[in-house]
Amino acid sequence: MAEGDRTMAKLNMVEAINLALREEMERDNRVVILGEDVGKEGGVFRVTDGLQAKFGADRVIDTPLAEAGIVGSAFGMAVYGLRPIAEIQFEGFLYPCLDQINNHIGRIRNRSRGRFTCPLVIRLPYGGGIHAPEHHSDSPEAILAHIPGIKVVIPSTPYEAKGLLFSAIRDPDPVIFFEPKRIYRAIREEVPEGDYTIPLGKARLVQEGKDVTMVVWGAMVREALNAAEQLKADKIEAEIIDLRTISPIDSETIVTSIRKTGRGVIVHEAPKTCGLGAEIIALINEKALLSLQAPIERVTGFDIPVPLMKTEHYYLPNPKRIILAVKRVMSF
Amino acid sequence: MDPLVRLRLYLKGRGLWNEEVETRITEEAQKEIDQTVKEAEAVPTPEVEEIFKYVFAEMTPPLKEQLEYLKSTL
Repeated sequence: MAEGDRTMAKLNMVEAINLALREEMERDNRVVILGEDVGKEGGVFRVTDGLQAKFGADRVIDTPLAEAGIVGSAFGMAVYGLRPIAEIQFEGFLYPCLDQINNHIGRIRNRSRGRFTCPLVIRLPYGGGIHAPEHHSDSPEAILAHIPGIKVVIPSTPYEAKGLLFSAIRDPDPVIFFEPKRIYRAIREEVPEGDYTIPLGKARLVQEGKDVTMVVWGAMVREALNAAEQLKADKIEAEIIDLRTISPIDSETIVTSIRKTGRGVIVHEAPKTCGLGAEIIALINEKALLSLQAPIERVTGFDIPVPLMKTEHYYLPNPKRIILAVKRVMSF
Repeated sequence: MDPLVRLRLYLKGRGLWNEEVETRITEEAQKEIDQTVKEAEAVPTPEVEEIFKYVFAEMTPPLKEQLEYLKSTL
């Protein structure tokens, strides 16, 4: 199929990200990939499949099992002129990198008064819903959003992933790119070959509605769409905002929607306490308090480690919990 | 070289390993794995309290509140 003269293929998110990496490496020879099993094996989720064969072991680098070393090396590469893309296999292995991210990557520009910069991307699969073992289902996006000097991006579909990844790689500052692993192979949609970018810091209006605003990102976009579909039976029209970038947050899009609907439900997989939902509620209170018809509701994970296979469904926000929250704000 | 392959060569060189041993041990291990998976899958779904119970010695007020909320939605 074609959009203008472009070739379009139905791709899943893994394939869309692979295509973005391939095209950007062709376009810009400063782009290098490094991580565990990204080369010969093509990545634990096959995201970097075929890239080492095409671009060589100097540009797609298999590293030792040492996350702080991967991200620390990427930091040095970025400061000295490359455009590294580091892959961390699962979000649960991100924590050894926080020293590099917080203490160096996020502040080298400020520390050097703009002399040194750090245009790198750290890609990592995150979130639950695939019946994974411990340390393979977390949603630590709020921890990263709390760190100054880095941007945090979370795509929700294959098309979005490609356009956002181009922007992330080309951004002059460090970007953490969370990939919802539950969506990796769950959706196929048309993804054009070639260049298109989706700007960072801009939310996406997924669907319009007049009654309640749902603010979501990553795998929760599909849950919100499902809930919104069911709510039509109750004559409730939900507006859905996919944040896309959680830092910097697009408060304008959120506030514009809340001014229209007067009601809001925020959905995230991450634990409730100090989750991004709290930040969004604070923003709404600061900018649109008098538009509110009801307190904003949060549908979130819980303040517990993500449970294993048999009990994971208790933890993850689902359409039923979203609908209950919407009905509470509608009947306040 | 892959350490498993190296170990096999080493054991073979010492006369401690052959095709018959490998087939037998592989079959035994596979049987044990299949049985363990079957038993694990037969475990009934735990009660919802299970996921909150072992985070702290005593469940904290926010966790109690979240557990009650979750139960009300099931």
